[in-house]
Amino acid sequence: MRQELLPPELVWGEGGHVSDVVLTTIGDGEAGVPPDARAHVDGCVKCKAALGNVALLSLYAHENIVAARDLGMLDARAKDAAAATATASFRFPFGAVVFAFALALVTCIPGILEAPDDARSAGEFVQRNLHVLMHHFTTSLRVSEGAASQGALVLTVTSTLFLTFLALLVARRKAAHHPESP
Amino acid sequence: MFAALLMDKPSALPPAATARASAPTRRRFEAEARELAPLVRAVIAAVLREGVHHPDVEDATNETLRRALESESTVHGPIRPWVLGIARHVALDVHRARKRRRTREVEEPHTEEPASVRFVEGLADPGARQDDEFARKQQLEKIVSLLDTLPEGQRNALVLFHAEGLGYQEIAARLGVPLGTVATWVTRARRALAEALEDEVLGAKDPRKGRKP
Ligand SMILES: [Zn+2]
Repeated sequence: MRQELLPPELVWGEGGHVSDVVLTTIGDGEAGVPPDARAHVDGCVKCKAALGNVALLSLYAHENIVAARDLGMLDARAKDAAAATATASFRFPFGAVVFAFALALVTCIPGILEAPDDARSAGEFVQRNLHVLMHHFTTSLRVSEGAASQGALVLTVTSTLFLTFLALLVARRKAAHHPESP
Repeated sequence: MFAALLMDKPSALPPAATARASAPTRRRFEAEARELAPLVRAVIAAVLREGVHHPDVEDATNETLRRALESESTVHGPIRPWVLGIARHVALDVHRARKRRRTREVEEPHTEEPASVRFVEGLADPGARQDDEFARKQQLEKIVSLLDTLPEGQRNALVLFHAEGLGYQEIAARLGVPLGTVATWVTRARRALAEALEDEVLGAKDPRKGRKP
């Protein structure tokens, strides 16, 4: 993976010296400082002096925050940070959804290939038996109030929604427990 | 580069110190020291308010690395703050020795040092506050409540960096923001802490400012 660098607008400060952001990054031993900024700090008395102060401040913050953590005083903040982490790392599983639709499409292919024939014969059938069909339709609605077929449709839609909901729940939980995974 | 800076100073890692450690330990430590030596030098220079090439800075840097290698096996947690802590300690010893020498040599009238100088000294010398458990707890409570006043991103970045030990890149990935945002958040959060704690640090440094009960 390529190392992300600090953007130029964050690198340089007043008087041609590097910014506090660069000094903080170097002081914390972090990568991402562009080579020209690093070279400047190596050769600049003023930036080196400022780096010492920044490192002292970093050390001061580190010692105090670690001490607060060890005394259990940071629990709520650590939970906040972890929650922010989980929220930020949850991504809608587009890949999985697209794959599922593609799979569904593939399994539909035989049906799709037969569809024109089916449609043609269905059309002819409707044309020939329209009035009979209408009669059957109204009769079946009246008799069973469509309970069986509508029930099947509702069941299909409900189970689809339920399975989708479960899949999203599982994906979300996985992201919360393994935030580095995509 | 920092590494290059160390290269033309082979004395940065004293041979006597390196000879005592086992070969793999020495190699590992030397590699880490090579990275940390310029920062150690910068911290010492800041405490002593000298240039990084001043002989006292050079001596204190060597002494820091020697002590670090000697107690290398006792380190728990990240090496960077541990080594910088030693550097600060060594530099303060040199600073105090210089002060005593100055006092002996010249009967100079007491002059007030600028607040910025006293602030750096206060950061460098947490000793007085560390000894008093009650004062220490109070100070930590103040820092924790200061964390709460920071914007959410700054607080999360600082807590993840110091308390969870994550690097900027990891924090960026976890919070879903660019690296520059993390670096900016950490910088601003520390600056805000420094500004808010300025009185505290100066108060602890200045014996005339009584400590709060
Ligand atoms: Zn500069």
